[in-house]
Amino acid sequence: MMNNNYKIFGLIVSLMRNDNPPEISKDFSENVMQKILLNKKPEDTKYNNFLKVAASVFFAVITAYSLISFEQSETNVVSVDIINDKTDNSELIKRVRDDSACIKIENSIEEKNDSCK
Amino acid sequence: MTRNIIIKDDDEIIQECLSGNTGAYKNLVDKYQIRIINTCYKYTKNINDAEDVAQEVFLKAFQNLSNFKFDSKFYSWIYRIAVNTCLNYINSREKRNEKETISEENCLNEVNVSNDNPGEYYQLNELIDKIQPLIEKLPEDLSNLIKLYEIKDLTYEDISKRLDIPIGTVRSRLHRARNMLISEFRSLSDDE
Repeated sequence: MMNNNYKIFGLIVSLMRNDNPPEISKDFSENVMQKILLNKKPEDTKYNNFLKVAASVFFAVITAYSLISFEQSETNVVSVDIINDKTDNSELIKRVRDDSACIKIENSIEEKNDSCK
Repeated sequence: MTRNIIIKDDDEIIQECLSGNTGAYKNLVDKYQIRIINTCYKYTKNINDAEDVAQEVFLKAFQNLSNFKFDSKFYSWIYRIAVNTCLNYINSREKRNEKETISEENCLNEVNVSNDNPGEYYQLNELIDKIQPLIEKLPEDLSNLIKLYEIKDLTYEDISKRLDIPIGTVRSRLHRARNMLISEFRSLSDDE
């Protein structure tokens, strides 16, 4: 037998009105409610609103942290580049000087040899 | 003996649903499932199809609950949804099978009963004979009131005017009549 007051009252009225099928499945209303809950949009619950806020705060913190750390690491890269450039330049200058010195020495040797002739 | 049973008005339940209490809608489904399934059964002529269409009807009604105007009865509103859903169902079934003329009248004739799982169903025809004595047990004023509200589908205002009693009295007497009917039904099922 039915045990819910609304079910019982619905049954009594439908039988009074002669407005009933010969039978109905016992879990009809449970199935309807299941279907309704599956189709219900979840966004209007308080819990989901809280989750949304928490997720936005979390992503804001992560974004801020990664921006700050990226900025710091970019500064280091720039300073290393400058140091490397300086050393490269000085080596280049040295090489140029050394080469010219060699050329001069070679020239002077050739001059000496020429004078000996 | 009559226990204090709380059966809320449909309008009150609808307000609860609209304010976010989805679970309250089950009370409306419980209350009207038999009548809506029967409406669908008259059109589909098959209890399984009738239940499928009735499920869709209750789902549609829930999704459009905010459009419900409180100046009419919930049952009249959902009944209209049921008829439209049944006609759509029959039209799509007809398109699938072969063309046949459809009208509201010729759908309401013969029906046949068939289901695969009799154990999962309430057999309602067996209960009809048990209900009539319950109504006869009610005091005359209460049984008249129940008939006016639940069978003739009059509103509180209409009953108040017809019987020349305040709306508050109509409400409280209907509440008392419902309590008595449910208690009597419960004692009947306890005896069995």
